[in-house]
Amino acid sequence: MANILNSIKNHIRLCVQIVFTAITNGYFYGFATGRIYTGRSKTVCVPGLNCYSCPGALGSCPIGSLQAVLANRNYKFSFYVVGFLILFGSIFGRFICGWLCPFGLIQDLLYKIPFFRKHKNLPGHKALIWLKYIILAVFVIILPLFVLDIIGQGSPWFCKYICPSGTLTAGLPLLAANEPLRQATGFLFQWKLLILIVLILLSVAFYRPFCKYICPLGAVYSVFNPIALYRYQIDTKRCIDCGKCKSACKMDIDVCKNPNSPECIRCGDCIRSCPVNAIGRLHR
Amino acid sequence: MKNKFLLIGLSVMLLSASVLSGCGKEVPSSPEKEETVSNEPTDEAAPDSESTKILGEFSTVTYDGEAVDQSILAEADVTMINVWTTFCGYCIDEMPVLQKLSEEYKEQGLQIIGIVSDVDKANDSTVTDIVDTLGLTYPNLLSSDDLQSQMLQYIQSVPTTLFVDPEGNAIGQLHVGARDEEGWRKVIESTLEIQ
Amino acid sequence: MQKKWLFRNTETEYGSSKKSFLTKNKTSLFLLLLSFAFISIGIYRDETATVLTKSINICLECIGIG
Repeated sequence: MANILNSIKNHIRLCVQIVFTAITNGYFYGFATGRIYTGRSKTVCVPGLNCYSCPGALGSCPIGSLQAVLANRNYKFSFYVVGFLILFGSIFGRFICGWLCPFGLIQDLLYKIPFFRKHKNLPGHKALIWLKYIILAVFVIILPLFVLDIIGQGSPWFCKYICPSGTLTAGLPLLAANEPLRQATGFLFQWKLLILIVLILLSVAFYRPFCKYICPLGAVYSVFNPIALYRYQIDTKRCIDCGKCKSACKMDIDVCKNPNSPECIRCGDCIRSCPVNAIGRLHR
Repeated sequence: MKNKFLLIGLSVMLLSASVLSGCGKEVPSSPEKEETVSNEPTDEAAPDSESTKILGEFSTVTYDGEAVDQSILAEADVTMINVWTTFCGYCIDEMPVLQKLSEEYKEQGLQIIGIVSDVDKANDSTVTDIVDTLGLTYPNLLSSDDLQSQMLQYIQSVPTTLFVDPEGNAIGQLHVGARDEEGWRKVIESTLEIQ
Repeated sequence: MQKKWLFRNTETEYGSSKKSFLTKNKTSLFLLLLSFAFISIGIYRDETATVLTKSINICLECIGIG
C-alpha cells in the first residue's frame, strides 16, 4: 500500500493528467456506441484542448467553442469563451498544459517511448515557438471571423484543417464505430490524419512539439504565465547558477533566469533537479 | 510499469483505429441494409425489427411557419430527407445540388425534403436567409418534439440523408456526409432502383 | 533526498506574506473579476446556446470528415 502511494506521489503529475482526462471524457457509453454526449454540461468549457466531438467528452473545447461563436453571424467576439480563457489562464497559466490537457498527456506518453536519440527541440526552435501565436491569430480568430459563406457564417478553420487532438480523440473513435461515417471520409481527413501521424512520430523524438509550436490554446495560456496565480519563484540567495534546471527543462527554458516563462508548462522537472532547493512553487 | 501499460494500450488503439479508418476509402458501396441507423441505443424504443418504419406520425412546421405532418411523405413515391443544421458549411454547400436534383427527379417520383435539426422556431432569420439565398423550392421543415423523439435523436452528424417511402419506411441505407452532384445522382439512381 | 515543499515560506525576495492578498494580487483579482464579467455577458448574449448546439451535433466539417 505504501508503495502505491509512494508511486503516486512520485508520478503525481501523470496521475493527475490521467484522472482529469478520464473524468472530462468519462462518457464511456459514447465510445461503445460511436455517439457523442449531448447533455447540458457541454455548455461548459474544459481547460485543455479536448474536442467536443470526442465520444467521451463531457465538456467543450475552448478553442472549438471560440471558433463556433466567432463563425456565428450574430457575434464578432465571444465574451463567454474569452471569459473562460481568462479565468483558467489567470489562475493556472500553462499549468493546464502540463497537468490538465489530454493531448499534452498523449505527447508525454509518446516521449516516454524509447528512441535512440531524444531531443528537446526541433531545429529552428526559437522561431517556431512563435508559430502558435500566428496559428491562434489566423486560424482561430481571423479566418472564422472573415471568411464567410453566402449567409455570413464562418468555418472553424483550426478544427477543420489542423487540430490533431480532434482527429485522434474524435475522428478516429467515431470512424471506428460508425460505418456510414467511414464512407464519408475524403481528402480532408487524409490531410488531418497525416498531420496527426507526423506529430505522433515527432513526439517520440522531440518533447511536446505540438505544445511548443502549434497549439493555439497554449499560446493563449502562455500570455498568462508571467502573471498567473500558480507560479514558480527563484530564491536568488540559494541559487548557485549550476544550470541543472536548464538542462532538466524539456521546454528549453533557463529556469533560474526566467521561472515564469511563457513556455513553461509547470512540469516541475526543474524543481526536482535543483540541488539547493532554490525553485519553489508559489500560490500568491 | 504503469507507463508501459498505457503506452501499449495507446499504440494498440492508434493502430487499430488507423487501420479501420484507412479501410473507409476502399469500401465498396454497402449491401442494401434494411436498418437505417447502425448504432441505435438499445435502451430506446427501437423500430420493430420486422418493418423498417422510421417515421410514423409527426407534426412540425416548415421554416416559414406552415404546419406539416406525415402526409407530406405521401406526395411522392420516394422521399429523400436531408437533415442539416444552420452552422454546417458542408450542408449549405450541397443544397444547390439538391435543389437541382429535386426539380430533375420530380417526374420519377422523388421528392426532397430538408429538416433543420438545430432550429424549432418558425421564421428563424438564419434559416430563412439560407433558403431564400439559395432559392430552395423543396420543403424545409424545422425540428419538433415528434421528429426529435422519432428520428432526429439518432442522427448526430450532419449532413445526413435518408430515403423513406410514403408510409415512413426506410429505403436503402443512411448516407452521412455531403456529396457532389455526381455522387448524389448515383445514390438517387440506385435508391430508385430498389423501389 | 531533499525535502520538497509546496508552499514557499516568508524568507524570499518577495517579502513578507503578511501583505494583504489584495494588494499583492491586483492583476489576478482584476482578471478574475473580468473573467466573471465576461462569462456573465456571454451568457446574457446567449453565446452558450451556440456553444452547446455546436458541441452536441457532430459537424462533420469540424472534425475533418466528408
